[in-house]
Amino acid sequence: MTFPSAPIETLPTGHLRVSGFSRLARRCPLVLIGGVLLAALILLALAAPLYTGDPLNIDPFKRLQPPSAEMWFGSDNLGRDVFARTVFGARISLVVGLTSATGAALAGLMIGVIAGYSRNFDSVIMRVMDGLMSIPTILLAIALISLTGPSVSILIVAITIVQLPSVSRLVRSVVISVRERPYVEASLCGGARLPKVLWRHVLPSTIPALMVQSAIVCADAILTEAGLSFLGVGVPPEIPSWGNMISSSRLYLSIAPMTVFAPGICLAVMVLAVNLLGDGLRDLFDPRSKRRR
Amino acid sequence: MGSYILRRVCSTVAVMAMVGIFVFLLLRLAPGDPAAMIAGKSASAEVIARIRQQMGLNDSLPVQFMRWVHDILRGDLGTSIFAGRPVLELISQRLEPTLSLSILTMILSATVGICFGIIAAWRAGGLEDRILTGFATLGFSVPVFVVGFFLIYFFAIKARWLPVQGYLPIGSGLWPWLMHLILPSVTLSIPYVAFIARITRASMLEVLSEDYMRTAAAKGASSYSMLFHHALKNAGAPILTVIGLSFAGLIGGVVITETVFNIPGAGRLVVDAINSRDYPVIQGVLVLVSGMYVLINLAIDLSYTLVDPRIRY
Repeated sequence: MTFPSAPIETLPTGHLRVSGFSRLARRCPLVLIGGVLLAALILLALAAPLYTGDPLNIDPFKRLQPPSAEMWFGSDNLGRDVFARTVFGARISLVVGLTSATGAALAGLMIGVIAGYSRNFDSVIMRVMDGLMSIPTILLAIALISLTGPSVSILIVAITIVQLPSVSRLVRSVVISVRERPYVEASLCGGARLPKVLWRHVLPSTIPALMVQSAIVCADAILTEAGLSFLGVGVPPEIPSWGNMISSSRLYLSIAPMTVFAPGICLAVMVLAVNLLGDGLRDLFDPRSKRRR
Repeated sequence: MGSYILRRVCSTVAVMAMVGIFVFLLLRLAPGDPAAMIAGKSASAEVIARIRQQMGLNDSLPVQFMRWVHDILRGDLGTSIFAGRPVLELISQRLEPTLSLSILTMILSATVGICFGIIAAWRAGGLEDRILTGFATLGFSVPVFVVGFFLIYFFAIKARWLPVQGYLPIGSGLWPWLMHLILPSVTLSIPYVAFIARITRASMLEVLSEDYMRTAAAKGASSYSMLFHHALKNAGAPILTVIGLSFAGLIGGVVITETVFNIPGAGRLVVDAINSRDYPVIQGVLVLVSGMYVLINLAIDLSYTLVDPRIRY
């Protein structure tokens, strides 16, 4: 479920001009819908201990119960509360999604700027990225994780590495198009040092595209985490994550479908929220693409 | 043209070399001594030392790497630590289900995705467009295994129209084979349908605003002829690229889909190999899959001239 990012020429390089909340809502309802949905999910996940029971509490007498007033989504094969586990599972998805997106964005920005600006490193870096890209995401992540055994931090590192090529390629393409612009040349001719030119003139123009790509990376990271956990090579099995829940409940699909469907639907809603946010940001930064799209 | 092909082939070789170095280092970086793993827990130090010597683990890394590459070029991907059989043999035994699933999924995704994209571009801004664009966003967001379990629950467990899980080789009859593959390939194709539909729509919209489309409309071409003869042909190159790129993700999806539907394919082989830390098998599959991906994309890049004669190198 990993996709190469959209063709680079459709990605925005414009600048953000927003005045007022209502204008944002009118111009880009998607940003608003996605943002509110995501904010709600983050709040629900943070406040989880306030309104749910213990996700790890095992009760052998209440195995595979149907949904009830006590346990909203029923219980799983060990008698654990599926609702509590689903709510706590959101934490893992959010942590993995947000940290790997941030990590990939920062590292990709650095690599992309270096590749875009230095002709010496460019071809080497890009061949390495091509190599990374030609190994399927899930297999690459699995291979990296197999070196150390599953843990949340190694999972985040693996997903970040897997996402690096798409981000750095994108940044590189923006940098290459910007570095020939007159204002960059003027500033260099005026005696400004290269680091300052990069910081003041090149970096800002990569931000819009980088934000859109970060949303795509975040959605992808959440899906990858769930997929790896489902395969049993992601988050350690004792931690309630959506992938783990689906993996351990799949044998009971015909008896207790809620144990599989509840985490599945939540996963889809969260990824949808992030994707809507990304689509909305794209429209916001590049009004041209909205008319065309 | 000739120099372009040469450059393209050279960069393909460079990329494969990167993959090779990465996959090779993976085995070296892995915790534990491969010789000790093969010898087993109770082996003495002498036995381990002998195996190290036999495997050539005492040579320097570059020498080992060259030997490994040489073996691969001869078609020897190494021997599985646990099964004790050649990796290539293990993979080829599992290839039929995986290829059946991948090919069926690609056919399904390409036909449905291109159709959806054309309809959405044709009715841009209209109801059909909104529904299909909405479906595309949803298709990106729903994980393969969630779709898989929904389909199993409703079509196999409740309605009993299709088998729940498993795989039958094509040798046991076309119909039973197809019945077992319908749910897996529909499941796996959903994100690709969404992806291909999106790119087809964007590419078609670009072409539909060209002057020659207005000319075609002015000379009275039917909308069918306009869409398929004039527009689709010109919008073909990006669509083809996307189908090629999809293969990379497809193989990741195959691993998960095979687990959901209990299909004994190459994807299951990798997952089992990882759980038992059978590094030669992991290496072999990574090299094969990446090689396939790189070659497919090379073929697609070179075939642009066939799709779009305006492209010259």
